[in-house]
Amino acid sequence: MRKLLHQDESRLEYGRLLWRSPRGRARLLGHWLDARHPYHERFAKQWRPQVERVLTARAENDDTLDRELQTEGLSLRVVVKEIPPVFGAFW
Amino acid sequence: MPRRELSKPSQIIDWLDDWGARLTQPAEMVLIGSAALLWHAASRNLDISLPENSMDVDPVTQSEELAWLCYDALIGSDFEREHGWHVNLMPGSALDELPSGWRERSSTAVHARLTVEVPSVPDLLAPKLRRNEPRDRAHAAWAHEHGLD
Repeated sequence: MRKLLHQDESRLEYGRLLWRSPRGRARLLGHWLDARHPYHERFAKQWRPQVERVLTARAENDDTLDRELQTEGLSLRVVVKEIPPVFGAFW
Repeated sequence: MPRRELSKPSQIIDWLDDWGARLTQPAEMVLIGSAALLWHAASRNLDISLPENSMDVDPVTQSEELAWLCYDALIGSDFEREHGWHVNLMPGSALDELPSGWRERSSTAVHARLTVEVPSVPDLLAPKLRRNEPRDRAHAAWAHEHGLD
């Protein structure tokens, strides 16, 4: 897998950390689906399944996941960029 | 009125003390960037200001509880409005940019339940000097001027 930018890697790494707990998943999903979030429609309509798949996966399996995504015309890099950011103003 | 932006060593120590007291379980953080330079100044009891104020601190952690605190202190948060600076969570891979063996030269401090590991000043400056922007050079000169390196 190609190296990610720090900001993308951070969203993946800490997104996974919070995603492990039901509380974390609910908080992230609530934020990303909030009408105030500028990417809420894009996330809800287009990327939610892939983002959830990436956040649920374990880091040690990223190379395998990347290969699987590439067979679907995607890549881990592409999906990570679709993990919505968190905005402190309404987090 | 809180101090705006980050410039003083005491701001880092106050923040670490506050979060260490708020944690319910032990947690670890590696602190890098200019905030880590301020930590070294605090460890030497120096009351000096950064040559250029910083807008954020750069921690790395594997603690979920600590990550929650960091998310509540992102840019745009109430934390930022109160403090004038925010928390910018860095991925673990950011530590790969430090010179090899940095852990053997790092310092560790305990703030209640929070253990903070801080790379040595020369190790902190290495990625800055590779980047070599004016602000990075200013921080390196500042560290040298005050005998931190």
